[in-house]
Amino acid sequence: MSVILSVKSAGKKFGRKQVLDGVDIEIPAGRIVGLLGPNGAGKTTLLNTVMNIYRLDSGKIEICGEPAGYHAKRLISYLPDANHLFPWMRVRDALKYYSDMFPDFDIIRAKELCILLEINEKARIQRISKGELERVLIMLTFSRKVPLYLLDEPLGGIDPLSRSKIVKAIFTQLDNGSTILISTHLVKDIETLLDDVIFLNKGKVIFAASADNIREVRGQSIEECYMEVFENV
Amino acid sequence: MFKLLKWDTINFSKKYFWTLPVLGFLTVLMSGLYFIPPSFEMPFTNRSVIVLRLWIQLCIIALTLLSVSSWTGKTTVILESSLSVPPWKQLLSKMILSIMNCCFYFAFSVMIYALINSAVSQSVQHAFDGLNDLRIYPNLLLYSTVTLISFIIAGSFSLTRRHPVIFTGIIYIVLTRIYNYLFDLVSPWSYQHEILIIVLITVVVFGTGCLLYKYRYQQN
Repeated sequence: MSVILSVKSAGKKFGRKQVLDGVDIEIPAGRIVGLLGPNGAGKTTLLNTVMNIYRLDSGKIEICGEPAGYHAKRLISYLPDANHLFPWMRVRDALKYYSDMFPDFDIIRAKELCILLEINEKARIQRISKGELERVLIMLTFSRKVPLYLLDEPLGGIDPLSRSKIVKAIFTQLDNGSTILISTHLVKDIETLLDDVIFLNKGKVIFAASADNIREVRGQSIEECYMEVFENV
Repeated sequence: MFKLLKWDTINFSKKYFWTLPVLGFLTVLMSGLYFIPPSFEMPFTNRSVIVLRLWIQLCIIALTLLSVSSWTGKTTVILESSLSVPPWKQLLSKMILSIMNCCFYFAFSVMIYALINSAVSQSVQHAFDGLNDLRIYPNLLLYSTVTLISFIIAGSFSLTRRHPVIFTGIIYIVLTRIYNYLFDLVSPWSYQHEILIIVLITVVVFGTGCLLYKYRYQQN
């Protein structure tokens, strides 16, 4: 099975704070991986370094065998943890922007997702609720056809109804054999989606296993395993 | 490239739509004080127009800075950072936008001045002719490149990254001083040489900016 994302000995400092400390991750194609950890564990920093928004101090990152950089960005669809769209935009402007700027953007799929996620294309980005905004960002992210999807806290701070719609949208993506890396600390909501989990704490990978292994060998749910591992750190 | 320029222009016009008319009207107001139409070619020798000339230069710098940095909002920077577009195209788009904005600002100021004075006098006509003078474009190019690289240098090192706007200003002043020193040292012997030197410096500065943007720049 080919490796989609490979992170080797990744190190990153902000000032004196070591945010990533020798992180090693390998994600094969077609897997849905949960990057789990408490706030400040380094999850967002790791995703930003994969996107080459932050530069690594040490180590290296490869996406489908290509080093992280502007060229490799065409292989990734990224959903950041906050709104990255221009605030003056309406949803239809965002669709036009993505259509113009990402050659792999599938406008038909985007329209389908708009219906599935009940998105109003005329809505202003600045005025919509957090749940609606998250649905818009999910729609834009999954309307691209790329080998790797990075989702940073896609379920953070939104109501259960929006949450279930987003999980449904992620489920529709499963048929395409995509590789998805989801960073979150809301373990319970995405538990059923995950093939593998990586627990990150203070910039270090402290635990990594397949979801099946946790359920069958350890006899735990992912949430129980998460609680056990982090309580003993 | 054109699509990027299109979205940069739309974003700038939506975000800072007020800057061009406000700066334009203020410039006309200042021009009115001296009864001199706004011009790029105001000599420093005439004491009365020093303030006006400084004002025009400040407006150009402010417009350039806004044009090259309008995409770097705390979160919206991620949108541009996730594009698979070569750094030189991203930076070139910002430079073209800033040159366009400066030309619009200048043309707008002259036009309003002419309208207020109810007729296009000879001197105003002369100021408009300034836009045909090819010498202003290399100068605008240099302005936007130096502003752009100052902004990128400020975002490329952990010390300067914390206060990017302040450091952009400081780096801009240092770079323009170095440029003036180099320019005096070479002391071009003709108009063509002057343009050649400006273009050469622009290319070197732009290339350095692209390398820094590719390997070092990051939003704090």
